[in-house]
Amino acid sequence: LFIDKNSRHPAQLYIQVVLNFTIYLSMLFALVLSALSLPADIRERTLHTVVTKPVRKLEIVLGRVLGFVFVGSVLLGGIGLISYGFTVRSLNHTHQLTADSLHAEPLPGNRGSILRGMTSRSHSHMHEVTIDPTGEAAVEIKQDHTHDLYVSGSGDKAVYTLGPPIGQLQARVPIYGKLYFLDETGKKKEKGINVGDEWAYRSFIKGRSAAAAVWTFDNLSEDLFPESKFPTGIPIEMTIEPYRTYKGNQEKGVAGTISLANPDFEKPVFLRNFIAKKFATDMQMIPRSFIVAGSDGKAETIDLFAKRGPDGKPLHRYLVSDKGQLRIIVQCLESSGMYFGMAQPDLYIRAADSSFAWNFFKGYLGIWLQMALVIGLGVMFSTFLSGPVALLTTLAVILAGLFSTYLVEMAGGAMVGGGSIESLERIMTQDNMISPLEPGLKTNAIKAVDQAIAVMLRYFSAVVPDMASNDYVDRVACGFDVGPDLLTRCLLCEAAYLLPVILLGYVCLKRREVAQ
Amino acid sequence: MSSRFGDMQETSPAGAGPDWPSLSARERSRRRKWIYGVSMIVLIVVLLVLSRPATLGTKEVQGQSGGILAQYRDAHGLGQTELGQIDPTSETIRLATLGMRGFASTTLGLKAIQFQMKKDWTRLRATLDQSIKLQPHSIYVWRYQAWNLSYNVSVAFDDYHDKFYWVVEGLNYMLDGVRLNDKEPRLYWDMGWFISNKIGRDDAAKYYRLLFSGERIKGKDAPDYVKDFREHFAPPPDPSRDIPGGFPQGSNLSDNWHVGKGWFKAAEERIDLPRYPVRGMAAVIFYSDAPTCQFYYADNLEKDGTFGQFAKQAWRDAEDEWRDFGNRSIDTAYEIPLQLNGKEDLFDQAELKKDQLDALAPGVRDDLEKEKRVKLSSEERVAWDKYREALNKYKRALHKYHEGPKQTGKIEKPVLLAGVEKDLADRAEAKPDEIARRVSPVHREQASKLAHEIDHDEILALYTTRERSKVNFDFWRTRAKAEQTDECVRAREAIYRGDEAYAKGDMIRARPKYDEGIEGWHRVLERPEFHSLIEDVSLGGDLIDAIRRYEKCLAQDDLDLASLPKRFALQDVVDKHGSRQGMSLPPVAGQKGQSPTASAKDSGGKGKSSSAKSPDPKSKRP
Repeated sequence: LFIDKNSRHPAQLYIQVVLNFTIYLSMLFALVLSALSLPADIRERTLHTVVTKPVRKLEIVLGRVLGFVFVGSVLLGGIGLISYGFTVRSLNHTHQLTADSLHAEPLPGNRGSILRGMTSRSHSHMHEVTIDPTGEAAVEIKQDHTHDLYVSGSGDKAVYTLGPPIGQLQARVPIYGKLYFLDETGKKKEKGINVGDEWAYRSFIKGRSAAAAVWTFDNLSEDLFPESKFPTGIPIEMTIEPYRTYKGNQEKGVAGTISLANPDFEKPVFLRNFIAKKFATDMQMIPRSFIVAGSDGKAETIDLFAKRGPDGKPLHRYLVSDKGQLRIIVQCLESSGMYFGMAQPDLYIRAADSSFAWNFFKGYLGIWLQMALVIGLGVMFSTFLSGPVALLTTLAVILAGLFSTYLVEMAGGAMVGGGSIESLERIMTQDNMISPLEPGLKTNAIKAVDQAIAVMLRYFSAVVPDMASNDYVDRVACGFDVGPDLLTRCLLCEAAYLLPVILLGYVCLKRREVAQ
Repeated sequence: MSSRFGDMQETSPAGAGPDWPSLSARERSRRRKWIYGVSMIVLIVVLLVLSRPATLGTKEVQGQSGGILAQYRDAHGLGQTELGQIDPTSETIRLATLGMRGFASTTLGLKAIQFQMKKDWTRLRATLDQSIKLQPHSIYVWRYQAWNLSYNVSVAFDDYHDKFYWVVEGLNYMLDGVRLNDKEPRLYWDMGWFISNKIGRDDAAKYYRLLFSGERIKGKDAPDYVKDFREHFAPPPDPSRDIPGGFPQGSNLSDNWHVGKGWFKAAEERIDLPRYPVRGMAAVIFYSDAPTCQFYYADNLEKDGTFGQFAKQAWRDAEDEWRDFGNRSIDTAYEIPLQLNGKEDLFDQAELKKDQLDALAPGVRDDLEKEKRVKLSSEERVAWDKYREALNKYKRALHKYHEGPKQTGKIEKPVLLAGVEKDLADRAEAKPDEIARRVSPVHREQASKLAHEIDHDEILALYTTRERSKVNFDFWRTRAKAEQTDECVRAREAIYRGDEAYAKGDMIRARPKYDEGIEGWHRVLERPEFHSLIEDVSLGGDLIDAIRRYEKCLAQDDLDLASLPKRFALQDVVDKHGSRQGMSLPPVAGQKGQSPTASAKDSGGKGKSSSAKSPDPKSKRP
């Protein structure tokens, strides 16, 4: 319905649509069920059969919450299984490749020829395939995936078979570093240059200067990256945003360089140059050991992790310090009219890959937490409000929860254009949002009322649930693992919020004269 | 039961219902039910008359026009089917929002702005798709967001492949809009504009045009998204194509200018007054876009290396299409439809009528102008005399044209010289009504009528001139003629060959080609009928680019334009456009029209001219 099959990131789109649809459905279900049930039972007097038994009021409230959560869990489980199957099946595909669709291209210097051709079209795309003279095949990455190519037979009788998509559904486990900048003179700065981008998320460094972005990673050890799992080195992924102040060579991207440094030694080691891919993730490997030209012009071996001789002394210069720290330095090589933009999460070490199915489940766990929160609130409000009023009140609290960041901003007086009354005044007088209001009694009155509202909002925003904190949709859709730290934190916050809500529900129901 | 009725009697407030004291409660209840029933029937009948749907006719049964609302909807083209194809998904979603459509679409619009700001292009695209399903007939949203994708999102990328992908995404978005609003001319026009001007005139136009062509580039197939998009341009008789009426015959569908022209033509076909007028632009501009595409097509043919008869034919077609455009009667802001080609005829008519007026009052014009002449300054008298002389020449040619064979001899009415006060004609020329007032009473009525007609013709000619200036009418007409000449085609080819050699770094081969091309352009621009082309910024820019490359060839021999012994052949172009293009050279005294080839020969091929020689060619520039 809403899924553009021609999208360049179909997996992201499928997962986002499926999970968001589940959120809306489960929220609606939880809202209606929790807010209307208890008032209906009280009105119909069916609750009398329960309250006349030796049952505590807390048990009634808890029973409602747990019961609804159980029903919701069953529902979510069903939807989860179906949506997982739908996502995986919808994205799964393969392509055909025949010998006719490949043509030979001679390599210079009598080095044989490579075979090049296009696969058949499937899921609105094709891949270019190249097979080098040694038989090594490369399938072009399209729509965030590639395929394995299996060849049986040779020459015209060769049969080519492509496997299922690889790399489309993933759950990367990143290790993030801390970012700081060096300005054009090499001085340490917290932020880079602002190039006038409306979204100040990324800071920029100037090309062909001492300006650099430096990430410092902590707690790295060889145990995290065993040679058996990472034989060629440790992978880093980065999204660097090039920014041009003039057109330059349009056929060539903006080049940069990656250097590595052991914080104990400071002197960085050149790793390699790269071309920045705008809005795309670029993977680079840090080899476990590599050779560079030393300051004396001789070759020098650099180890990623210290290799020590029998005397305990390092055999070569090494990059990860004894405290487990590593610096990765990125610079822009192009002329000073070119810039590189980056934010802290734009470069990370890809420590492992978790199971996508498990990550998808964790995405649903987030939805489950949101649903439980709504059920708790709905039951609590329904203990002292009539059904429709409880429903609307719960809805209002959920909406406030969804916009809690905005509420906090308003309460803190950080909004451009002032508080709500000041904004209203500006709208009515068609005034802009920046110029100060004319001093006088009216402005003083507006400011005073806004301050009073801000105080109220401050208290209100403190008790409103933060719905967005349990939303893992973007993480799952963008292929990042929902880590145990995040899950534990969310579970604790949820419990800490639900406990007083249930107790409040119990107190309200106890004070109410139901069959007493 | 009785107790219930009794309760009702007791609790019913006074005056709340019909007052039937004589009737029992049962009777009153029955009567109420009757009233309700009859009211319902009456309302249903009224509803039926108002909103009965129209039915389509068959061979056997005639269709019905439906109720008043259906007829009104039909008359004003407000029905869903009147606007374009119906999208079932869109209809379902609109119903599902339960009247909250405005809120939902605003929320999605705000989300789209956030996604764009955070450069989340995948979600931006998905949100736009959702948003437009709620408002499929909102023309402004289609136009704005398609433009946003093609123009704003595309430039956010660095690689031209990615940029072009988003240009095409904007076009795909607009295509959906066209399907759902297939009577709206402005959407067709926008399609034409994006395909022709965005693809053809962007900074990366060289790459975009190649990608758009759908041809293999460097041994690689065209991208999937280009192939998908191109499927919508299947030529007739494929009924699935998106352009009603199809592309004009002979269209080159691998060229963006011809495809754009096809969409502009489709936009013209969609004009259906009063419901679908030309929106948001002057009609003269709207109708000029299709023929302008043919000019750019011809221009790009030569830039891509196609010359000879094929190129000449493209320019000939452009001239024909421009002439057809000039003959079209176009609505104007003056509330008078005008033909751009009519300007000359209007001036001619006015001049001929002035002769008739002069015949009614012999000598009056001269007397009046003599009186006015006294009040002019000496500079104004010189300017006026020059103008009068040119005007007399024009009139002689006009008479000759009307008396002799009409194909030859006609020239355009001169305009007052630049630098002369605008109101000089008002102060120096004898006005028709002034002459008419001095005509003898016997002919005065006839003279007044003639004076009125002359004013009318001149005003219309003035309006036509203004409309022509909006689309650079005279320039394109002259350019099409000039480009068909052998000199011009040869000059273009020579510069193209020079560029080829230049790109390979072969300055030795490039320079003579540039010499030939520059000389050719000099001969073209020297001709009086084409001299006005020198004023055009776009042509001037192209020539300046070529001159810059030529300069680099000269630099190989330690020469530059200023150090050439003779005046540079395109010095006028440099003077006119050089500074605008970041190039400024002091004009070198020399004989006008001297060939650059000759210059090179004079300098022994090495350009060691002592007079204007500079050790560093760049040092002469400010």
